[in-house]
Amino acid sequence: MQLRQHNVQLEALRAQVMVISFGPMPGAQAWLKETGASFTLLLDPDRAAYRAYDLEHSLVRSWGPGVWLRYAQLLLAGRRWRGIQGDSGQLGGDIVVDSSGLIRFVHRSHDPTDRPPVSRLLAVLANCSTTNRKAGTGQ
Amino acid sequence: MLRIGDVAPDWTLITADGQPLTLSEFWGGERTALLVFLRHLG
Repeated sequence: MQLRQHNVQLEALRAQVMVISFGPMPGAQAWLKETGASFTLLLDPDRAAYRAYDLEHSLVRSWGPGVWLRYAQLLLAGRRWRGIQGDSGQLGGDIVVDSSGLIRFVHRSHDPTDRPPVSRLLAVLANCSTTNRKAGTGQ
Repeated sequence: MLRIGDVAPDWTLITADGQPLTLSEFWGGERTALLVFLRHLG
């Protein structure tokens, strides 16, 4: 997860990063340790939050050639194979919710390799931070 | 389908420490929430 390389900037923007997983606790904790991410990890075993945010489900798109290639790259980079836990057809996404509870950015993954550029997320968070300061809720 | 500007659906999920956390706890504060929904690639 490239986001972890921007911890200082995320904190400066007063961003609360919450990583949501539908896998079991041991696997999620292992992922957190392996990636070195220090974000808040949340478990959604019933995928209720995934459904609430209209995130997609597709077994076909979840196992395309690009996904196998990405797995090969991760394994070569030293990531350990932990097997597939949970519904492998469930796709993810990235959502920004501002401090008044409004959605400011939505990216629903078309396939497991599809994620928005970190620069795009940081730009949205910066915009939210500026709005907060103008409204007097930020520091 | 949710759109930008809509009120975000609220939820309560369990942290890795076993504690409940509700999204709306952050509303009215100074933090912007970035929700990263994982898929099997992580």
